[in-house]
Amino acid sequence: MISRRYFLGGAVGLGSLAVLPAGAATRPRDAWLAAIGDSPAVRSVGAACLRCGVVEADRQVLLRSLMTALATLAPQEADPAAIRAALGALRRSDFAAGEVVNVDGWILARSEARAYAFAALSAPLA
Amino acid sequence: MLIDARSLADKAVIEADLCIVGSGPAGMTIAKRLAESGIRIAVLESGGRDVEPEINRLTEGELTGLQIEALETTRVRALGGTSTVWNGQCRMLDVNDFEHRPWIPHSGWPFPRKELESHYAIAHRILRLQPVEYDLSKWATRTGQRFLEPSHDIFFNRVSLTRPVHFWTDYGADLEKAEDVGIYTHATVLGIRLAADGQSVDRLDVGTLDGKRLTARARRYVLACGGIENARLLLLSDDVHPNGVGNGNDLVGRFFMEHPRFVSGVLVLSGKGLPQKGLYGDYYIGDGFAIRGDLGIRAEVQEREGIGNVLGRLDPANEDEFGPGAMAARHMLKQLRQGRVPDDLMANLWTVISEADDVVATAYRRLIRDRDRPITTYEVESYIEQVPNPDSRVTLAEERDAFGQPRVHVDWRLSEIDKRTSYRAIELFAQAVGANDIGRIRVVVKPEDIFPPTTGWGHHHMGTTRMNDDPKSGVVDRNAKVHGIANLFVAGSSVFPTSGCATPTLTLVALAARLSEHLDKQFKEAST
Ligand SMILES: Cc1cc2nc3c(=O)[nH]c(=O)nc-3n(C[C@H](O)[C@H](O)[C@H](O)COP(=O)(O)OP(=O)(O)OC[C@H]3O[C@@H](n4cnc5c(N)ncnc54)[C@H](O)[C@@H]3O)c2cc1C
Repeated sequence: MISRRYFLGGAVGLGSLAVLPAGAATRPRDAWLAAIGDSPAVRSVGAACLRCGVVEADRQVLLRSLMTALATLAPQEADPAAIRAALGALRRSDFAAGEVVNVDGWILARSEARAYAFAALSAPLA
Repeated sequence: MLIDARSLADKAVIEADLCIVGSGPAGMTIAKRLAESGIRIAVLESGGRDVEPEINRLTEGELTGLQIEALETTRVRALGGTSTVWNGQCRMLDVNDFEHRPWIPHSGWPFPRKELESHYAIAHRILRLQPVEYDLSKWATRTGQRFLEPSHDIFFNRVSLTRPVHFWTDYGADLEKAEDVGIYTHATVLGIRLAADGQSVDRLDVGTLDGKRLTARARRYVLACGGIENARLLLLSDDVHPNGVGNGNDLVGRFFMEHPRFVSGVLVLSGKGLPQKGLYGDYYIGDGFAIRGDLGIRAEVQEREGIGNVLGRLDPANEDEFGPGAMAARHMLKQLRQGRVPDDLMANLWTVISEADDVVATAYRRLIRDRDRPITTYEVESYIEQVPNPDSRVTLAEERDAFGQPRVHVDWRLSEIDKRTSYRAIELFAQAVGANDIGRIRVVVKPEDIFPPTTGWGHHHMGTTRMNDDPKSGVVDRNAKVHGIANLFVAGSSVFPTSGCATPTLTLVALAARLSEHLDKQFKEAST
């Protein structure tokens, strides 16, 4: 079960830009990970999403489906802030459209569940 | 004038132009509105100034179906009726509550809300609810408090206005002085006696618990005995029509509605939280007046989802309170408070014991909680509109009361739409808070567990003499007159065809104000 402490640090924390590691990203994967948040909380929520089977259990598939959904974002976008903003907009529109998943009772946007699962399946940033 | 019916001679006859049965908010509103009109009024009240246990026991009854509170503790037989104990929280029904909603069987009032607006204005004055402001953002500006601002079209903020007016304490003195008003205490109406043709009321049989039998005669009669007793009195009066008065179509007592409520989720805010004493909770403005913000689901979304109306109530909480141990402990406590042995005692006990740390932590945090610290977690209570259901019903029981009259039997039943409303509501609130970046919601009920044994009620009894212009679909017409009976009217929430998710008293007072206008007109027309 995801605890509230992890949850606050993970899912809800995604809304805040303040925790972005400045200039951390050097390649798209790192940029995405930096945008999503490379923290134990995010990984824990991601692991729960995978355990509940509400998202694809494949890192590449997850990243591809996120990129496809973010049509406005350049494929090679490496700025975590830009990715984060685009993910935020996608998350809000998923919620508004009812594109949600249930993870241990928590109602998450499908795109954010994918993002956390992607983080959980990725090696930590150097 | 205030008269104790026990002081009258046995077989005495009370004569008036208008006889009102019951002195709760409904009956008192009519008496107050017509007190200066020249109409001679007799108010017959079963109770006295104070609550007397042997009188209140007349309200006892059997309960089956989903549990509501024991009837004798949820209704008060005394001057002022149940307003002696109510919380005073008021809100108007929504515009769509009055409309026919094709996905909700038996929905629709005989008139739109705009027809009740002027009476709502009167009701706000009677209930001393000033200022009449239902926009939470205005209250936020006024109080300097923060609130959850919706930017997507799923939810909106509701506002309730609260002042617990006690109808007898606040208005009794004026009525006692009114020349044309006689208020009879300890006068329990036992039956409605019809004229031989069965089309009008001839008189009322009245009894006192010390053994007197009286008669009340008037030109017109209003039943204002509360949402359950109105139906009971009609059913009890079966000497001319064997099914009871106004019950030719077997509708009296059917469609009983309450407001089911239960904790359905926990909301974690993403921002810095809201202040502990924020607008979601009773916020005291001063002079006994408070306001409260709640969440609502927009009418278009209700239609799209095929659900009833719903309110999301937020209460400051603690994540630990939603651990399995704490939930189980609360479940047990609630059942014990209701005087029941918890149905799943052993299972719950094990959960409580094995999660002892979490229970202790909850209790501890409650004790040390810093009252002014911003809070980030709320429990979300779903408080839903029960849609009209003919199988949810009030009938007469075998058991008898102190007058030898059959007691009441309440079989409260909910339907599939109510279940769907309950579950979809918390999911929709979850979508709404996510879409608005307010936070996230964790759903703490499963669809198959609705309605949980912890389901509560609002103390709101509605629907048992529903209003509809067609006698086949309603007990009273748009003027609250009983179909087929020329001079009998019903006041109170028993006439509500649908219940919305608003507390009922403001609306029933508005309807009572509307009925007094109608009666005044009728009396005036008859005298010219
Ligand atoms: C704890 C509690 C809290 C509540 N809080 C709220 C709230 O915050 N907001 C809200 O809107 N509502 C609330 N309610 C409900 C509210 O009290 C009722 O909606 C309201 O009192 C109904 O008014 P009424 O006049 O129709 O009936 P009542 O107030 O029940 O009055 C009926 C009167 O009729 C009399 N009577 C009954 N039978 C007979 C008879 N045969 N002969 C003579 N007299 C008879 C009774 O003695 C009583 O005085 C609450 C109720 C309770 C119990």
